[in-house]
Amino acid sequence: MQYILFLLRRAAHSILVLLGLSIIIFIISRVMPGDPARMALGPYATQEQVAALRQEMGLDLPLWTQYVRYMSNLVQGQFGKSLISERDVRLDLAHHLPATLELIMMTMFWVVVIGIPLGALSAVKKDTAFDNLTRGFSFTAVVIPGFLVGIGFQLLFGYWLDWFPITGRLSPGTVVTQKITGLYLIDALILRDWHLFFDALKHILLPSLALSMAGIGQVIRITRSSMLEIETQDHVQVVRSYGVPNLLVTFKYILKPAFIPTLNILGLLSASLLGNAFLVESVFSWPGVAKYGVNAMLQKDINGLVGVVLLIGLGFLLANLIVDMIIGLLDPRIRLKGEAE
Amino acid sequence: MKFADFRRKLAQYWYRFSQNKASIAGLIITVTIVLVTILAPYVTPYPEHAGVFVDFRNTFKPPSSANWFGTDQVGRDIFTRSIFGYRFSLIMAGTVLGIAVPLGVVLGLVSGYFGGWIESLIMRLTDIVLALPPLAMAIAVSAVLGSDLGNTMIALAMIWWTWYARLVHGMVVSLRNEEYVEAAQIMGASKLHIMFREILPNCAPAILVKTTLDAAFVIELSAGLSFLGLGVRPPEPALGTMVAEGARYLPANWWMTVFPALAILVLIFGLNWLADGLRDVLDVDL
Amino acid sequence: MHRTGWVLTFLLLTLLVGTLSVGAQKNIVTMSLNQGIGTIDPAKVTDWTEAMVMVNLYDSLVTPKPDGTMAGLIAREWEISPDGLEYVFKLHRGIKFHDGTELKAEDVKFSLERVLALKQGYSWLWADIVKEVVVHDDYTVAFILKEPFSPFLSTLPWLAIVNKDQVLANKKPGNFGEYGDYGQEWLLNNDAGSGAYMFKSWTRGNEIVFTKFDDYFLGWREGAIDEVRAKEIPPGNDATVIAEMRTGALTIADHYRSLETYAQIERLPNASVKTALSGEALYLKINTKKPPMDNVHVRRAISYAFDYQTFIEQIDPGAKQLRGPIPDTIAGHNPNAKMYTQDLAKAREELAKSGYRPGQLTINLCYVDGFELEERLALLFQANMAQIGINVVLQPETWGRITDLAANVETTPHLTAVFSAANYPDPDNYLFTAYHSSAAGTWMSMEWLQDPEIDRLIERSRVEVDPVKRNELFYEIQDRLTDLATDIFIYALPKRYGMQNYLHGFEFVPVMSFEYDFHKMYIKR
Repeated sequence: MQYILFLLRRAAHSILVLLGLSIIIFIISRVMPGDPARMALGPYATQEQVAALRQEMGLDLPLWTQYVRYMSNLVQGQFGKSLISERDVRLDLAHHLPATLELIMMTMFWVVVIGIPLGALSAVKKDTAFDNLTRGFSFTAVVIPGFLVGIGFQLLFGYWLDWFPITGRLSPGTVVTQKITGLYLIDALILRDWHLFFDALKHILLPSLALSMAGIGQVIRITRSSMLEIETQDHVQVVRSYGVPNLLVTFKYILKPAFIPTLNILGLLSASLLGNAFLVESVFSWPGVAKYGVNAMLQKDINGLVGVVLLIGLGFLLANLIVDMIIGLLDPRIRLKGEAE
Repeated sequence: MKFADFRRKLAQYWYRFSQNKASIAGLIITVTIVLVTILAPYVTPYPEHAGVFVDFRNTFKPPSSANWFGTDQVGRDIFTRSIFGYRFSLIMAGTVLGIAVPLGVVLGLVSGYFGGWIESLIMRLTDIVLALPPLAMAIAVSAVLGSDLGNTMIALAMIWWTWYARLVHGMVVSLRNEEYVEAAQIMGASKLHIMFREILPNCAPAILVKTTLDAAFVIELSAGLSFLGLGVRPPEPALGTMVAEGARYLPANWWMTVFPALAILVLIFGLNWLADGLRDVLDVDL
Repeated sequence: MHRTGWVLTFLLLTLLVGTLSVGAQKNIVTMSLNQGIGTIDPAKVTDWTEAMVMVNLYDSLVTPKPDGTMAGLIAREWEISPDGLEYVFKLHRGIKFHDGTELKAEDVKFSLERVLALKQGYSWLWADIVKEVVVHDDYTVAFILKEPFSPFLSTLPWLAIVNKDQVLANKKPGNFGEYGDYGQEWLLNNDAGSGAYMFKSWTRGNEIVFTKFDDYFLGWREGAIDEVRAKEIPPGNDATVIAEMRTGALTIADHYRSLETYAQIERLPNASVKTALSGEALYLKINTKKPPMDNVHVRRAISYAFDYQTFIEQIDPGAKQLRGPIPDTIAGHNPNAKMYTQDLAKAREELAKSGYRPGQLTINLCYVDGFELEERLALLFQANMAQIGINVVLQPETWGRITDLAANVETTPHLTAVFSAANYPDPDNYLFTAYHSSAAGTWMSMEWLQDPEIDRLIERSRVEVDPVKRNELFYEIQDRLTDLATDIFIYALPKRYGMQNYLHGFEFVPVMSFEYDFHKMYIKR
């Protein structure tokens, strides 16, 4: 019961934040310089056409009325039509989202399979050369901006070694015979289309690795430090003194509880990736949401812009909520503390 | 605190700081870059290349003794422009944090100390702003305000204060029931005095370390923004813009991208090492 | 844990496998696009990528030849009445739309009405000109004009013929009465044409694909291209273009790449670069209503101060300076119009006449953000103007924003770098939309000239049917414009195309995107 109350509180809080966000983005989209109607109609439009579209979009109404309209649309889940593609913004987002999701999932995959083992090993082998090396790597990975890693990868693995393609999601000529999830790797597995699978993998490797660097660094750091912290706690010492095998102690009594802060970081990471993918997507011409968002901003597609920002905000909040849920389940102290606040 | 005490304490800090080679390297790098940037017109070989200048006979020259980092698409010296490019980074970091840190600290103090609806208001506001990744927000705001340096900095500062508000708020909440604060209250000290004289000094080390770390962060972000073409007007040099421009000519003219990118990395690493050293010395857990 | 290990091993294996190439039996051509496609509705086409799609999916009555004259396409022959008011077209029989039905005169009428009703894309070409379209029989259609318009025929390649029945069968409710939404929603994702290629798929922001229409009425030759894939590669990613031209993943590199890129493609053993003098001219359009540019002496001063020589020798080597607003490839170009060359003494003299002092003026120059050629031009201009004491502030903007700025005389920058579009190969294309008062407020008319004399001359040239008299009028207009220094006339763009050596049949046509007609091309290895 307390757990449910805790979740409800978190959810209510998220809705409040989302409401605030929608107000901010409304203000941003209405005070942007330039006329969205003109930019939507293209270079040959006449003044009358622009005026007509402004009226259709309600841009000639007082700001207050516009806001009421905007909110009532949002509540119904309507973002309106994109001014660039002339389609429902939801359609556009659904079109661009899978590419970004795939990139983020692949990135998180690297973070988990590289970050956690390295962090754990580094804790186990504390103060060895391996530990020092890993910590050095972790520091470097956190500090280097992802887009520079991306350019470095392109230069090294794309141009000089010529191992991987430099941009895009698929080679020209590779066809997705059937769109199931829109995540090409998963679709390829379902369809057992190995050509598609390898092609998609070849393309996603560099951008996902570039994007995962900071996350890997953080996860190494947090896994290592929380393992070391638990290592010194009484119950672990006691278990060890009973002669339980070292490996078992590491896995059962240290790694599992040490996983909570790591999980927390993972949640925050996957949420922030949705926004931070901007630069890496732009370096690799990855046809994702970030690219759509930048275009929407530059072309003053106000409906598209609202859609992207709210999507990013929503993703961030959802990821946080899920992390809260899992951690609350794993560790009762946290949800009780949340209750006390 | 007496002056002699203060000096002794400082000497202690310095001793602990100097034990770490990385911290020293960070300090040297940061100080050198700041100095070189201030003195840029005197220490660079072709200061005129940072301004209105073209030389189409010398475009795309690879690194040589005349142009250490090569030249760009209109024949300007990339070494000179990289040094001048630091100006943009440093002015950006200085201004953004110069606005965001005091603003965030004051709002954090106020919300933590007073509590009630002020606290709710400020903290909900930080929640909202923090629900957006800073880069996305900065792009959106600079798109609104038009892309020039001043606007971009305002945009970033408007996002950045929230981190400090949150940090200070957290510390104030844990400190406000400490005995010495209560003692000061009983002795009739004014609220302002308690906030700024009793509580703030205890937050200072954490704020200092975070500011150093954030300087690196803002520089990274400014590089990202200028990489997307926001924030500077040509011919003003900015490292991110130089990286983006150079990327168009990869791989043949690699020097156009690689050197400005390295320039960004050196500064970011320097600041991070410095922050690490400060963190150890001041015993801050962030 | 062991599952993760398995996945890891698997991934490593995949890396080892490395490149897998497809065995392609079909002739597939891939081309790059420097910008995205906004729409594939032929009534809404505005930029070159959209026009490229239209040219291949749709047919028009006539099509431009390499020399700029018009050849019949679905029109077999035509007749123009002596007063220049009526154009009667006879159509070929048996032309099939992609759905198998026959193209008839009624479809032509419908197509024009649709364009005029939607008021988008190229509708401005005919909006005030065509009175009505009359269908005489299934294969004869007449256009009645409100007043004579001599370049009319050369505008018709832009009228793509859509399948009336198919469009109306797919209409949705809308603002156009019995026509509903005029099939707008449906045509966002479908084609209704008779062109050589059929729309296959379009992943927005990424790639558009069309395939050969086997029943195309002009038939197919050996080695014809079966499938065309056009994919977006932004200007910042020219490196990708070079890499993919080398591997062969890309067949055609479009004409908006940096000069460095073409230089590198030229060095590849398997590809080469084709160059053509296009009808697209680059101007710095001067807002003649905004002080200090309202002063003709300031305009002349900057015209004399710009270093044309460096531009055509170093920035775009092998190009030719523009003499007046009309490129010399267009009949009607005045070979004796005044051409400014860099002369700083004259520039200073003109500046002195203007009453402004050196160091007193600051002007802004706007250009397309990230467009490398224009950026280099802007930096050169800035350095040149510094020599006569004029400060230039550079203002890179997105193209969309520039079209927005152009709407008002106050927001139009002092100077804007603009390429005139090659919409129709006639001097009128360069004059009316830029300098006639009624055309003010668009990106094409950022001069805000509004000169009664120029207006009168342009109006006369449009209704003049006699070619000799027309040319005299054009000469006079060009003399007056260069004297007024309404623009810095820079050069006619040499368009460059990177192409794999196995691609043949490419032919340059001086109308935007009509050179990307894949029906003409074929593959021979």
